[in-house]
Amino acid sequence: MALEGPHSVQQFESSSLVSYLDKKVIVLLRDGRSMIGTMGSFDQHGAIVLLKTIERMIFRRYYCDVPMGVFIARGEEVIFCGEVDPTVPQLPPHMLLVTRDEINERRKAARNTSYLKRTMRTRMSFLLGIGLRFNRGSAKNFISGVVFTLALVGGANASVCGEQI
Amino acid sequence: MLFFSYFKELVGKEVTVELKNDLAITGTLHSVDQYLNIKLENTRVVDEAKYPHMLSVKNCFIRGSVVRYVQLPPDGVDVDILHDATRREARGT
Repeated sequence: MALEGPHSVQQFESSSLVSYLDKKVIVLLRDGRSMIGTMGSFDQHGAIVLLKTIERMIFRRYYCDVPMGVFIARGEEVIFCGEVDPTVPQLPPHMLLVTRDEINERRKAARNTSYLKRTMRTRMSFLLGIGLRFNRGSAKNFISGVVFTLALVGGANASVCGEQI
Repeated sequence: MLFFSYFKELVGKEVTVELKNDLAITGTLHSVDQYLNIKLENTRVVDEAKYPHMLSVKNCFIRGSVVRYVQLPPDGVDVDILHDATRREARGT
């Protein structure tokens, strides 16, 4: 197919991806992944073909490169395309190369930690509720709240504490 | 086409483009097209610590549909011209 006519590549060259053809580029995708490869082709929607692609996975100061071969991304998934300057190191020196599994493990661990933090805050929110009830002056609710709290604190001691109150 | 024309006037000026994924990139506006896709030169990422893999990127292409804001230089905005152009466009002349 010849690229001719009023919408030829020439006309939009200054603002299209033509200047990146055959260059090494880094492409950011909408799902947060970043791909590095040689720009093979593109179209008017911004879809791109990368050759000798690697996916660069980064988590904090760890990174790894996963080979992806020929990579085609739909235009709407591509959010950013930058030319990689070969004279500048691609990553700062403190970054550590690890395996893909290790990155996945670390991501999973971080996800679990944040999930735990979130759920603990939700679970402990009844403590806040006790404070509010106490402020309103309802002693009955306050006591039941304390019983409930103690019941949670120690399984074996729970009934004892309840009887005491 | 108003903002397309407007951004064409800004070519050569220093702008900061903030993307919908919170990535913010500062650079010299190289070109813009009808979809408001933007090309920047001499780019630097505002939060470099968070995006260490963007260090070696010196010029870039940003898809118009993912741009959240474009921060302009203070002298890049002539409100009166924009005001007039908007009304001209609305009249269809």
